[in-house]
Amino acid sequence: MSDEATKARPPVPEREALPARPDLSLRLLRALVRFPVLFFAGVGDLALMTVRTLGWMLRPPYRLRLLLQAMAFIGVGSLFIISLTALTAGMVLALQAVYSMRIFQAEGAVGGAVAMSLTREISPVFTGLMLTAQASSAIATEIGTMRVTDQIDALTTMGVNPIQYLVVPRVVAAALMTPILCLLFTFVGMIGAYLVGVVWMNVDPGQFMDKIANWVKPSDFRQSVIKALVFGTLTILIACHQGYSAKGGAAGVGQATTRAVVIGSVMIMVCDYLLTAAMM
Amino acid sequence: MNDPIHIKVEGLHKSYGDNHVLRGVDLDLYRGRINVVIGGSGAGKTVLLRQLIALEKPDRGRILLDGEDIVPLDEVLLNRIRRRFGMVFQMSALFDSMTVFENVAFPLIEHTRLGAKEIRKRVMAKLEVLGLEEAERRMPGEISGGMRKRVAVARALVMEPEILIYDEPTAGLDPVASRTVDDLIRSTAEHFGGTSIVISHDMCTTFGVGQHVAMLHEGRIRAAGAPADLLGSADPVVQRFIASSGVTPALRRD
Repeated sequence: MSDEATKARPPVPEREALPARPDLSLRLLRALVRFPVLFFAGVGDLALMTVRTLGWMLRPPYRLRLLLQAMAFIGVGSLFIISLTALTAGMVLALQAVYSMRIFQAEGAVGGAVAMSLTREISPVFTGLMLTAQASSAIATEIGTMRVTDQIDALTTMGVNPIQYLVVPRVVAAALMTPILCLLFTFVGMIGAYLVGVVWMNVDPGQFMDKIANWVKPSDFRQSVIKALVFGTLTILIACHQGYSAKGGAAGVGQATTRAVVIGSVMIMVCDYLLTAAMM
Repeated sequence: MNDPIHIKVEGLHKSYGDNHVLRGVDLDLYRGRINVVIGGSGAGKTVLLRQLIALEKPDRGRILLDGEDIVPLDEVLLNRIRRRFGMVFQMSALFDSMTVFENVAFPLIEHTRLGAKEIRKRVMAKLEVLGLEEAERRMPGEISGGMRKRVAVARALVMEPEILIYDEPTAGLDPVASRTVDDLIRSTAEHFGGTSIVISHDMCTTFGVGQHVAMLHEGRIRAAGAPADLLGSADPVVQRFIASSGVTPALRRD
């Protein structure tokens, strides 16, 4: 290599010029602080979106067509998956109950036991979780894609508030449809329990029905509907929030969808405990 | 309104964390003309645009639209102000769940009480002017990038805004399609009137369609004036930017 070529080559930066890495304890401390900071920032952001959603809910224009579309998507779109899980959940509960109660010759109580479990816990929680898997993931993806392709900014520049246009109809639809889906879950679940308990395991049908009427109170249904309302609204709101704050192209939308499903599912379980404790 | 300045930006600052993007932008945008804002990547063009159309609030400074400062306005008032703007996004930002017709009709459905017949008439008129009448029932995913850009222009124009903003209109297009978009910007300005603002780093667009050009550099306006003024500028930063963008000697002579 000639001298000229050697001279023309840019100087190699020295390794010492790189910024020194902070020491291990400092990095550990930063990592520990980062999680609660991100957690509380996320909670604050979600609370802000909730307030804005409530504010824009009351303000005209009221877009009935969008609400009906969202109700069809959340309600009708989830019918199959809700019915299928309800049927299998009812069947499994009945099977377990018959085997357990046969020890005490109490299999006649299967109907009541399954009905109580379904109304109080299984129906609202499973409806919430199925809604998270079915509708929340789709909503987070749709709104996230709109965010990263500037469609949300386009709405804003056209003088249409994106919270009012995108979030309000979906959240209202969830609040209206989830309690109905939850009651449907209980009904289909009881059909599954009847099929296994009475038709297959030969439990007396009179006792089966009698125990349902004796054990399940109207307050159980009230508890069921309240829980479903909270879970459905919360999971769809989380999905809208995650989609709305997506960034970074297709990968960002994927992450938003995953977060919507994970956070939605975890929040349903946490809220289930809190609501159960409050309504006991 | 006789004031030739349609939008006046004064001392605009905007930071994201430690990143101080706009560092005191002073800019005049002229009524009824095609105003082009140029600048390299990271100069703050898109950030400036987001403040102009009130997608974000600046940290400091004023944006005077016909003399009225829009920075302190609340969201409801801003929604009214935004209807005076039409915006053509870099990637067109068409609603992909709607047809071409529905995209263009969207602002009319949202903001007017016009009947279906009148909406159809107005939308088809815009689509015809832009050569899109055949595409009215197609989805945005089924048409070319150039056509999407034209649909975005039709959507921006349907409310007959005073100000039409183009964000990097030729980004991602081939040279032939880019010049077609330049012609579209020019003919739209001639046909519909109003003020046009083009954010670009494409020198052919800048000197092909621009009537007033401002250069943004490191968060401030480095130079502004007629295209010929910028081409003849003695400022080494302006010279270097124009020269490195490959602007031809023939274009310089124009």
